[in-house]
Amino acid sequence: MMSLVMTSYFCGGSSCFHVHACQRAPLLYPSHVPVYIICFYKSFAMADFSSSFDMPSASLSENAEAAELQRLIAVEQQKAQFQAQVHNFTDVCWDKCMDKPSSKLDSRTETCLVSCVERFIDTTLTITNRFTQMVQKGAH
Amino acid sequence: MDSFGSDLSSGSSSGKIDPGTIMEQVKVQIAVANAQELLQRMTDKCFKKCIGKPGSTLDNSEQKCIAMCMDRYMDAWNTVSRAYNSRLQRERARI
Repeated sequence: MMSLVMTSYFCGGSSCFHVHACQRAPLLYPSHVPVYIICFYKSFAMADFSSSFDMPSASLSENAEAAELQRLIAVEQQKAQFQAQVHNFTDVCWDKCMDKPSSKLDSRTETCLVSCVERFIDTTLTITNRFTQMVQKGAH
Repeated sequence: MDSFGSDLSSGSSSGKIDPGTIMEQVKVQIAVANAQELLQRMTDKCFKKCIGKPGSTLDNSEQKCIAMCMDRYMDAWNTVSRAYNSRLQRERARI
């Protein structure tokens, strides 16, 4: 599914290197398609248009436009990362909190979901902090 | 999906890149990918919850269960989204 989206944009020309740059960064971008999409658009926005399309070298206004585009894309990237996290949390917390699907989300389940998100984040922070300590201690 | 690609390339042939068009396309694609992710995970969860031993068709009870499960999953998604958002705001307020 991912390759369908990607190759339809960047086939041939100097833009091809952007494909490889985004595929090489699986650790930076979680395996979630919208974030990959943004990676490609960012590469596109940063591309040197003048060399690709035989235009006179980029003027000041074009640089400003590209910078603004990068900023807008960064905003969308943040939103996409937020949604990717919501998908992950919902996945985990559904298993923890939902018993039988009923006709309404009762308040007990809703409380469980909220607590689940909070505790999951707390767990992530605890693990990160303790791991950092372990690594620092191990370095001596 | 391919139509988005051809739109982008046709825009560049005129020599001018319109940020507005690009941003619209970015947002649309993200929305589509988000919906695909949602459906994939929803299908996984609801299949596990609603289908016991797979038969030769989906019977009525299974269909009803799937419909309810879909609604509950989207409710859960919204609840989680709100919870995560408020946690992020709380963490930002602390900094």
